[in-house]
Amino acid sequence: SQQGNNMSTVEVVFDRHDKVYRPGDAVSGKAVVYADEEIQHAGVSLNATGNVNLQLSAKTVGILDAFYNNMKPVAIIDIKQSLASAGKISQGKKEFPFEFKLDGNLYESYHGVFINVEYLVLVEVQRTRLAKPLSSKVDFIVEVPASDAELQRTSARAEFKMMPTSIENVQQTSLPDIPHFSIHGHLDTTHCDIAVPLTGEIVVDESVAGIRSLDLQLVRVETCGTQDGVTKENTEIQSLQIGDGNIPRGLAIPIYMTLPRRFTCASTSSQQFKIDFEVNLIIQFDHGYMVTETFPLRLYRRPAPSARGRKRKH
Amino acid sequence: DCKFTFATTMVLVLVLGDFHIPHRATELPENFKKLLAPGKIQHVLSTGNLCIKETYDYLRTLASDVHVVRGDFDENQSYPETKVVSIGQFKIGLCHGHQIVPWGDTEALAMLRRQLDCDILVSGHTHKFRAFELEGGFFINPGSATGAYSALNSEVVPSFVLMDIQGPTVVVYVYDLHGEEVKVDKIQYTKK
Amino acid sequence: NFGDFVACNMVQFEWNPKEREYEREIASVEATRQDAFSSHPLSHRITVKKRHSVTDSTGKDIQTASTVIENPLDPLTSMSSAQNMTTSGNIVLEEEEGTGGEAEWERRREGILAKYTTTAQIAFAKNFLDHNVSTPIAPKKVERSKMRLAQLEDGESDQPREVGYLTAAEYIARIRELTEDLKRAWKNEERVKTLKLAIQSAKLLGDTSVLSFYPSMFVLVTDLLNTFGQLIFDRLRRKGGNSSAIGGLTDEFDTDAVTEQARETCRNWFFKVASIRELLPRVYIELAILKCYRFISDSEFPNVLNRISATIRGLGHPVVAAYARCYLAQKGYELTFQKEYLMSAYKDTLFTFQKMTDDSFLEAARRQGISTQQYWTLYAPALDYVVHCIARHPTKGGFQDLVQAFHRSKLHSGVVLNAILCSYPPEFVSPHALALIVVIKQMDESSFSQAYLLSSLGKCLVKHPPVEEQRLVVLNDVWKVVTKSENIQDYLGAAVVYVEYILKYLSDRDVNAILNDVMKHVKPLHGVHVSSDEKTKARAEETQRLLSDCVYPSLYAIITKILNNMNDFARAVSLDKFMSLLELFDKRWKYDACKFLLEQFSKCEDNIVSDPVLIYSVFNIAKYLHDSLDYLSFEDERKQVGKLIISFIRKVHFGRDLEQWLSFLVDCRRVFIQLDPVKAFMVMSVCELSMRTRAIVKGRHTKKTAAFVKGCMAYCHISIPSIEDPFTRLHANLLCGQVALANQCLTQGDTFFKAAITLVQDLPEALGSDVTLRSVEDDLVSFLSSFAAALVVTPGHPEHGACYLVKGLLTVVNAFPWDASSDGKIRVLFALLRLFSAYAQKKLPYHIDSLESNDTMFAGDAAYREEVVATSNGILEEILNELARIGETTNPVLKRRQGPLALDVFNILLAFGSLEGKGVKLAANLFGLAKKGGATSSYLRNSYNVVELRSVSGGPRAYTYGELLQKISL
Repeated sequence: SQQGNNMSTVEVVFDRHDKVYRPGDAVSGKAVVYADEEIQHAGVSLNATGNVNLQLSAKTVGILDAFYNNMKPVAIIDIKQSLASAGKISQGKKEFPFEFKLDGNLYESYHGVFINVEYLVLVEVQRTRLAKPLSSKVDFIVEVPASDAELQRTSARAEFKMMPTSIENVQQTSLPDIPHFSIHGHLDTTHCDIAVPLTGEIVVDESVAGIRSLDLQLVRVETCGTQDGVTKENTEIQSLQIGDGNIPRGLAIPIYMTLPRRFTCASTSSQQFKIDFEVNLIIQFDHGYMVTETFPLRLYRRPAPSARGRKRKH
Repeated sequence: DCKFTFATTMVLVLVLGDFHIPHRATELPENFKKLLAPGKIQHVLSTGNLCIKETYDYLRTLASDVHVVRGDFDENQSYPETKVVSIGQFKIGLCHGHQIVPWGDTEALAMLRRQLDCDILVSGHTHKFRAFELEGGFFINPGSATGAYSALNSEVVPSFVLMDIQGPTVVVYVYDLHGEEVKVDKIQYTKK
Repeated sequence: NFGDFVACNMVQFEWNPKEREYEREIASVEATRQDAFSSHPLSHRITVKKRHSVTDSTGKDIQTASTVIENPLDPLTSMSSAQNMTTSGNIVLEEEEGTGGEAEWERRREGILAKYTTTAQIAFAKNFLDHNVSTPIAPKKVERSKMRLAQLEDGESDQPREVGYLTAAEYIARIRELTEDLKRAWKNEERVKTLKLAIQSAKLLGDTSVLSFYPSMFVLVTDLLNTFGQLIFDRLRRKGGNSSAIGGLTDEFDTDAVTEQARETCRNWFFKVASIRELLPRVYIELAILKCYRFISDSEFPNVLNRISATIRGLGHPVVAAYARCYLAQKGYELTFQKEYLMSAYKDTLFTFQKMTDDSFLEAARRQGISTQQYWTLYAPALDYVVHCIARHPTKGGFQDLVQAFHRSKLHSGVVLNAILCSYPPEFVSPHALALIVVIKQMDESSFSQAYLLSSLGKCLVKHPPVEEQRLVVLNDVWKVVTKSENIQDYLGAAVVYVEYILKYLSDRDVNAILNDVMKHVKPLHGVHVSSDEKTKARAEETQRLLSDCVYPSLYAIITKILNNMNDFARAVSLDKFMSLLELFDKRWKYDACKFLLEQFSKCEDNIVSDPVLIYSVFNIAKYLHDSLDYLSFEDERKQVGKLIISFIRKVHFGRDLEQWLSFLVDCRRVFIQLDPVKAFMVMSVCELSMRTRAIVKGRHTKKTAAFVKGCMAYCHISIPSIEDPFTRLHANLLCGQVALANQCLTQGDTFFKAAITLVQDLPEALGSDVTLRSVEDDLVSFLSSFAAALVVTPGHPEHGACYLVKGLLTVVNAFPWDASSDGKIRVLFALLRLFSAYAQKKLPYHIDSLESNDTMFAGDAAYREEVVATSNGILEEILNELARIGETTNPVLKRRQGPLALDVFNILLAFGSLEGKGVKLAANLFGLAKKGGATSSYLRNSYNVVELRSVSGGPRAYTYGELLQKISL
């Protein structure tokens, strides 16, 4: 945080080390000023903001449009506080504690391609005369527990069975050209606690052709609402190989994926935007063809006491 | 209550030689071996004719400080003809004795003692234990530890000597083997 | 000039030997001996000071005197036994630790590296880190089209494009380099690079193109990954402690003691690992840092291990999967006692093998030139280790589960069964021996050798035999299978094991039977000879390789087992087939085997061997060794063999049958002709026989024993000239001469002594070669002194005169080309002068029983006495001449010897001369010479003191010594 010689700085330190907060929580911390000389200031202020940033995809509007037509951020919170009125800060370290309450219609922090949900704390020490203010901007993370209704949804186990005849985009006439295979399995649930890895099993019962790879692909589906309509984009978050090579027939291979933090959030829907997720199960065969099965996921966050010392399942 | 305290200042010097292994004997008599447990003895002085290295190695198991002079049948050519070792207040001269003419003669030994300037002269070769005091010096021949025959005698009593040195006094213990029985005598000598 | 001065004095001096009465002299000074049996230092009874504090009626302490108490252990002994107890305690602990995962793996890894190697070239990315490691969060668009495939292909291009090829040795070096890179990156805080290096390294284990090297690759790469895991663990531990734990967490830290920050860092590591795209590196990296879960939770290990165990199912290549399971077992071992994940790994393996009957992997291996049996052997290190971990803290139930799973799989996989047999304690395995044999018999020989499996079973049986009545049945069942084995290597492997089994639990007759069978199998191999025909030549070479790599070592092992188990050399050698085994070896191996046998023989407890069959056998072994030596053999080797042969001859003992003994030595002489020490030893053995005979007849020979002793002497006479080392020969002659005298063989004695004199004449001036070259003079002086002392008792010849041998010796001494810069000659003259002073006495200082020496032969003979005195004078003159010569020499080293030598002469005069006539003056001059010539002060003082002592002793010559004392000063 030290910016070169003879520079005073300010730093934001949250009381929670992981900076994770939930609606109703008091976000607390302090602004720490390191003064290498006495500072005259016109006040220390805090501004906490939460915004949804939307961006149109190049595919939908073309490169130039995408560049210029960033949609206006949707403000979620905007809290201003004065931490100190004008005065002097003598040389050394001085702390200004802050605390504000998280309230209102909050969305989960999320880092996507077309949609970003970001919460920031900006602290400024206003200098007298022409001096530039000292400032620091730090993000914190907001997690929004699911509603009771969401929680009461029954766990949705997804069984699947794959064979040449079940492929949608193949014409009946070319079916005999596809070497026979039969694969079955399940996802334990498509209604997923975001803190719990996605699990399931896949069994290759039969396959005439050799198998090269079994992959799980986690995909985000970002929908931005505009006056003109809706754009919807699928992008990959991560891809994990769960089977490597010609796996034994009949052996249950585990499906297992930890949902990455920040890049996933509870499935979200609002008037301006929507964030959904799906997972693709991709089977690649030896002779260059592959079969994919897609499972839409609904992610939610459990309201369990989790902010401090919680244990994540791995 | 009763307390036990062990005497601690004993310096034990084992003196032995004329093994003639394997030429005239197979090994040290079992009854001697049993007595010579490792760790009891601080110094070993040997009058030579160990003949093979294995015998030397055995002596090294008894004490780390081992001194040997060369006998006429030692395969190791690096042992010296004579050697003087200082232990406590004593200077002890060591010589095998085959080169002392006549063998075991008091005058000849006395002359060697004067030459080596020692308090005690240890020599061997005759395969016969002997200890005597002459003109202020003390002379010990530990005999043959294996009872190997000598040029003059085919019936030799195996013997060795253990010296317990305490200040100016040495108590010489003589171990003779008669059949299966070990006989122990002692002789005391005080330096003047 | 001192020389002139002394010489001039000499002319007027006549040597007068001092009269001596040896017996009286010694008797007057001999120390008195007291019986010390009850309290000598080596006694097990030790004197301890025992202080009883007893209070008497007056309240004073009464202290009792020292008493002797019986103590079975002296302090040293009891101390050492106490130590033993504690150290043995430690050993037990260490052993328990030593069987742990890491130590056990350490033991195995070297073996794997040695066994699984290749001459093929192994691919290795040149640009190991250059290409991208897929970043998990790269925003890639999902296209539901065939483009997706291309994209995935692109993902596959994570595989290095530029590939180099390395030999096995280069590969090892490369991994070592990578490990160093990794450590460096970590030290420089380059976390991402460190992780990338670890991931790329783990990916190497996906390469199955050189399968025969795969187990070694696994060892190398996991070493690297372990380093990686340890680096992370150590840093977390160092930084992860709460304020109470300054300097990091202790070894056995509790999760509660970990800071939230460290926990967060740790969680981040696992999130990072969980997002590694490819399965293989994801599994390996997580395992590498598995231990770090301890920072997050203490109780998660079973779940995590179960999950990883299941994840491994996704690895398609069975070899790759098997080794991943091995790594799982390794990492799990230190974290939990729970075995569920291991059992499931084991069952997965069984399942995989079951599915592999129509195996494309086996096909691929075959294309790499790997046979079916070799292919299955590839699994052994991994599978053995997993089963080893399952067998930790074994229970009967656990064993049954394992075996039942094996049975249920209906898979007769040898490699699995072998892992079970090798890993479980014998007491679990052995009771099922008969059933196991049935199972093994049903196995497919082409995939795993039945004989090999039976060897593994045998190793259990050796440690834990079946019940008495089954022992022979088991052997018969086993051997029916083994004997049919076409693979000689496996056959012999089993033979080595079952020989031990039989030795331990069955009869010698059975040992013979199995040896017989072994010979039947091995003999045909010897029939294959190298011929010019290419095809037969190749086959012959192959056979040769098999013989030296497998057959000979196995036979050697069999011999070792027999000897070690029988602990009775005679019994081993008396086995019908034992000696014939030796005939199956080639020259070199037979040599080694014979050497081993002879070593064992020389070590065996029995010091006395008289069984003719045994002697004959060992004799032949020794003969073979001896005859194998040639001029190319190393000196050290010759010495060793010499020692072994000597210890053999030493052990042979015919009690009172001395003639048989001699004839044995005659046989030996015929055979052992090329080793000096052996030849010298045989001569000395015969001397010992003679002295033994003398002892038996108490010095009075009968006709028969006299003839026998003469025979002995004749033996020596013939043997000595074949000894090469001149000094060994000299001493042998001198010894034999003395032994002859001791046995009243006067003529023979003379012969030996004369031979010795002649030998001195022919002695070279120096012995040895270049570096070891040493002058013979010191040794010669020592020998001649000893000779002179021996001549004291040697009787003169009735015709040639009393002193003819000594005179011969004197001539040789005078004629010997003494080095001008040495004092050798004068020292020999000292010895001779002392000899003559003994001759001059009425009674010699020592005698040999029933042998007349010169003192009785020439008692009262004036001519004899005259001769002695005249010769003495001649010697003394020669001594003084030498002294003068030494004084005049320009050699500074020698010149400094004049003083000490003059003092020696002075002392000889004191000891042996009467000092009559001019004696006192001569002595005084010598003392003066010594003082000026640099004799050491202590020697001078001691010499002075003795004169002083004798001058006041009141002895017969006190006055003369007083006179001398007047003339000398310190």
